[in-house]
Amino acid sequence: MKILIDIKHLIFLSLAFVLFTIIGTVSHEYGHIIVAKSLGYETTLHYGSMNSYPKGYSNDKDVIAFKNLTKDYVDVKYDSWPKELKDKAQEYKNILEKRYWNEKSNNDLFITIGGTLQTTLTGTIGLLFLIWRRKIICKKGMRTLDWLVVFLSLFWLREVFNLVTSIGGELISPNGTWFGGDELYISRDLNLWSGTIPIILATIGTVIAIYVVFKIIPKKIRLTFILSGFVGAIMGFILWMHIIGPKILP
Amino acid sequence: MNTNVLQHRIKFIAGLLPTHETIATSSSVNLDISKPRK
Repeated sequence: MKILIDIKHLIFLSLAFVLFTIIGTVSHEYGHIIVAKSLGYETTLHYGSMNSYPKGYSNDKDVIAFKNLTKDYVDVKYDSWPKELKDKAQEYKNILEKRYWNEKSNNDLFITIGGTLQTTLTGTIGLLFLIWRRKIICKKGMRTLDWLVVFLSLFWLREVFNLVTSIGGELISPNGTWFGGDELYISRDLNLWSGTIPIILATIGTVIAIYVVFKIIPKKIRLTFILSGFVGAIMGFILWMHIIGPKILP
Repeated sequence: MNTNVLQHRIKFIAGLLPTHETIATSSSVNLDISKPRK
């Protein structure tokens, strides 16, 4: 059997995967941010995360003092903290918990869902566009817009990636849970078994990725596309999460 | 509250930890850092 890899397409598609890995990551955080802002929270965006706090939290003098008090001990185990620091930290924790985290609310669940919804909704819109365009693509081939939408539909791969990495993490360094990230938190907040949302979304993501790769991508470029997916996504992840991202959005 | 959870909670309240992370890191999944919910 003759297997052909198109080097020119491999490079272009790999670069596209790098770019969309970064776009997918940042836009996911914006999904959280849109919901958090609409609920009146203050937010900050970072390369691989976002923070949302009740209004006024960052400027609260007790929060600033608490942060300054503990910042040098972030990587030190709590047991090794000096006793006076432990006592002072407990005091601040109790004051701030009472002031900001005492109210029962589902807002954090909604903020968590915001990121996952952004990712899966973008992927679903992309998928629907490709289903609509499929016959035309089969007849006339892929246009630039079709390629763009293919990458948007593959936002669903985040769900597969997260499940694979959380299971991989548990196999390499067991900590008692096979799941992680937003999907796990959504399951827990909805009082479902921890794996419910991660497994459902990863399964849908896998089915959609298989559909896009085997029903949309032309056969002659399919293998190149799959290879570029692995190369580009891994490169994009390393570049953004470890090299570029921390510098641009620390 | 065990010391791991307590340390995590203290860091969280002090604003030293992200509230939402992109990837499924396993460092915090066993710790209840969440706010009280209905």
